[in-house]
Amino acid sequence: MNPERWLQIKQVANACLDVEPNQREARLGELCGSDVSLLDEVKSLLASHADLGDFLETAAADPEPDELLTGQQIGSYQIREAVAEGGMGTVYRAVRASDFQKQVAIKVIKRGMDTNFMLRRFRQERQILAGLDHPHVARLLDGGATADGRPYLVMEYIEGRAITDYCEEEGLTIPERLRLFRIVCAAVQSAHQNLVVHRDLKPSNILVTADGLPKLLDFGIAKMLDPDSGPTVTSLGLMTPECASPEQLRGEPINTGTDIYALGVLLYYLLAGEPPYRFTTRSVEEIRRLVCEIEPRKPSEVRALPEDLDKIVLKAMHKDASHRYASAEQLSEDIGRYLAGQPVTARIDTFQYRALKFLARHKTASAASAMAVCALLAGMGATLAEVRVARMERARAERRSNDVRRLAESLMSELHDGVQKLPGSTGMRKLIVDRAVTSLDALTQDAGSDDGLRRELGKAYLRLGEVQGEPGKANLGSAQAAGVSFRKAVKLYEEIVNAASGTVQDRRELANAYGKLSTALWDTGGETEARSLDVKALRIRQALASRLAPVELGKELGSSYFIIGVHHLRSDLPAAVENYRKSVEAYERVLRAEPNSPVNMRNLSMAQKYLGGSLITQHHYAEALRSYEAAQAIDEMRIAADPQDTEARMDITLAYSDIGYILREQGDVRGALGYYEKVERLRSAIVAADPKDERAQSGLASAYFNIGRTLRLLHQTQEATAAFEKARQIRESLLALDSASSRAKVFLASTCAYLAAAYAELARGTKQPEARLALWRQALPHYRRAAEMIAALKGNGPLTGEAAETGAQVDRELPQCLAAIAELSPSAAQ
Amino acid sequence: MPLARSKDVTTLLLEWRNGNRKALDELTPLVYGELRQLAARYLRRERPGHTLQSTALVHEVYLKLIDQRRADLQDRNQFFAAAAHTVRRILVSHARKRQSLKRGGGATLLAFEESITPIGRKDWDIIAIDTALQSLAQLDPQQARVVELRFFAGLSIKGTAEALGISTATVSREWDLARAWLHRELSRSAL
Repeated sequence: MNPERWLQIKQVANACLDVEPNQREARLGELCGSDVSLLDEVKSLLASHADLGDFLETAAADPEPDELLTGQQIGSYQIREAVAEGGMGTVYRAVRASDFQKQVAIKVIKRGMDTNFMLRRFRQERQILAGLDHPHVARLLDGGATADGRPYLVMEYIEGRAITDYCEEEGLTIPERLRLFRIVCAAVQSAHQNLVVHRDLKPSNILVTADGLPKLLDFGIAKMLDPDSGPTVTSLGLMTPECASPEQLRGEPINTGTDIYALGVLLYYLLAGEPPYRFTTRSVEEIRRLVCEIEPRKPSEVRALPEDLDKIVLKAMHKDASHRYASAEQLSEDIGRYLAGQPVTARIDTFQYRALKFLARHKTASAASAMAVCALLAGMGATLAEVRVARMERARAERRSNDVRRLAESLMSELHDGVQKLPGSTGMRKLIVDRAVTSLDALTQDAGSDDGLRRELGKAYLRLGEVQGEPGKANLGSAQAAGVSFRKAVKLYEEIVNAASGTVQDRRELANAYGKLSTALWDTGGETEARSLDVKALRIRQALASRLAPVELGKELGSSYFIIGVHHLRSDLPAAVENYRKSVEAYERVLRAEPNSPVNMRNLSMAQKYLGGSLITQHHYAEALRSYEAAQAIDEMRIAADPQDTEARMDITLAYSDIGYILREQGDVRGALGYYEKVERLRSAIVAADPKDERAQSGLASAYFNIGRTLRLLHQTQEATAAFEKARQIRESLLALDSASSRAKVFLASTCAYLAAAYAELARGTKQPEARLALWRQALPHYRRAAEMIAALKGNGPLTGEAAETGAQVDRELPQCLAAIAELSPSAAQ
Repeated sequence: MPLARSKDVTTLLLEWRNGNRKALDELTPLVYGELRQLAARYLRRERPGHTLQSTALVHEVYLKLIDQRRADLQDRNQFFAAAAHTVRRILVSHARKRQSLKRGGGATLLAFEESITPIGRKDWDIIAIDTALQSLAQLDPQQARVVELRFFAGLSIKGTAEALGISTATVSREWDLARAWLHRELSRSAL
């Protein structure tokens, strides 16, 4: 048999199968005529067909069907009925076992889908949902695992009608529909700010409850329960072609613009009473062609509607995502303008479009004709101001840019800056950060040579890095992750600056990025690179001196001199002092120009402290004390202005601590102890308010350490061991959090060595042999732990500074400790 | 780097969708390798009584290999279509191995392939279906693809239609007739 013959057989067989079984024989006779072999062939196929049963209907490796959990108890919920089934899970209606009135929806992952990978995804999505708390989004109530280990989510059970049905059945007026829709926009906006894209907004996912309020379902679930919408899925998260955006159908990246499109489709449906597209085909190719190329009828051609609403709907549904509203909020605002009788931006957009068209037609357009255009526009009802708004909006219309900005500004600034000062906020930021990293990396891949977008990305990476752990602020202690983000920002800005289009502003940003990367590197041991980055930044700023406003210049030069001063601290103290002085001068100028600015105050206070510090190392104590007292005065003003300001409270402890040091050096040990105890009280309070604030933890450890050292000077060795022990415990836990940090190792090593030495001193002062031995034995593990840290640090290169001192101390004292134990041990005596 | 590879797979998939047939040749070994590796890894940690399902596995491999931001519903079907071929190869090769073992081989079975052997289905079924399907592919490649997607990848009629870009009505007809043809072939060879 050949394919041609088979085609013939197939056609005849299909024709026979199309008629009733009892007519097949006759039909077969008709079609085959005298071709006996054709007749035989089809006949045997038809016989086989009649005999098929469920032959091959169970796939070769099909999962076992999931048994329904109806009637069973999951957690504290009693399952009532299955409501929907999807490719990866089943949704049940359930009641709380203790309160049958309380209904919930439970989504249980299917057996066979519960691989580790899926479970991880499930958990991630659960976290996202948990953070998505909005009155018009179905709430995540609970979650857990069934007896056989499958995870489930408990959601608010929403009893309601699909929003489109509700509007039609209740006969809502247009303004009523618009108001309802605006609530949906607000819910979507809130999700977008949490970096959750719904991806499957459609009427059946937006229910209106009996009290007339909409609730969004399946937020994030679409992606979780049913990644990419399996073809066998019935109602869960299937990408509904009627609501799918052109970019979804083209397989392009999906982001908030996709939801804006779906909102446009929904608005169309609500206004026109029918969806913009109806497909008679299931061919993806055909659907894609329709959605990507064909304009839907205007809603006003379906139902009588004002033209402004056409404009709004079609702008939201624009095929080119960059022409849509930049956010659900903007869409909602435009509807608000319509409801208030104001001109809508969707329409202004068209005016501008016409103006551009006009100019394009008249290439020789002079200023005069441009004015004519303006006059024309004015005559059409748009004011010049509106044209400017439209133009600005257009300039900002690159939607990907907008996404980045949303991320950088809304999320990072509002959330980060907003919560930074609130104690106890660290855990919450971690979620935001993880989400942001993924989004930015994806956008960077798509950025190409688009400078505008790369600028936004650069900015966003800088903000992200700050949240991840710019040292010197309450942070998540992950300087390495921050370094990665800062490096990405540096790369983007270097490319922009090296391109012909680089501006003064770009160079400023590059210098800024160098500075941030340097700070992160500094904290992870990359001091050499950090220094060269800081020198580069200073050069850029000095070169820009003539082109910047004095205040701006002051801030940036102040920070450059400051950091160069830091680099000189080890190698060239007079140069360090010199740079700090320049830094203090620059910041003083800025503060004079902009008094009461918290940032300026903090900068000056920090520069004063570092100047003081470099003076201490040169033993200029009196002068150093003046710097610290100036710093203390500024910090006191900051705290008075905002008692919640954790950063200011932390900053003032730095002044106290160093004043303590100066007093101790000058022989006023009791005075020093008083300052250190002040430091300890303040830092303990900060740590108690936010136990995850690693910088405060580290500061608290230092405070205990300094108290321990001062107590030893006062010969209160017993009390000193207690203080060192507290310091040690914090240092251990900080090292566990960031095991690559060499600073954490140095601190732990010196704390252990001091603790051990205090025990050693107690041992030496004890006569009774058993007690003496016990004390030496208490010292030993701490010497060993210090030695271990020193050995690890030696792996990174020769020891310097505190590490070298501790290394020498351990080398000297550990053998003494071992010898003492050997001498005192009962086994040695035998 | 897993990231770089996942990008490659997505790119290949998109190329394939845009008509580059060679992309499938490059795609399949990646999918195959990943399926086997993953299966082996899961099996080491398998809890007793828990059968690893190949559809779940394919799903997971898909999520792992494909950049979700760039791929869409259609790509998912395409991927499943590619995986269908892979699952078919794994099942058949395992059935063969098991048969040769029964004839006196002694080596331990590959754990993964053991796990995806359909419960209660005889090895000869798989081999016979595969052989008959090869003959069908000579006559009617589209029908053979429909069987591969339906039977080996477990796609629904709708999913198969979307993966092949044809109507569901066509898939139903092709599926019925292909089953009739295969059923006849298998009955004949069983005689």
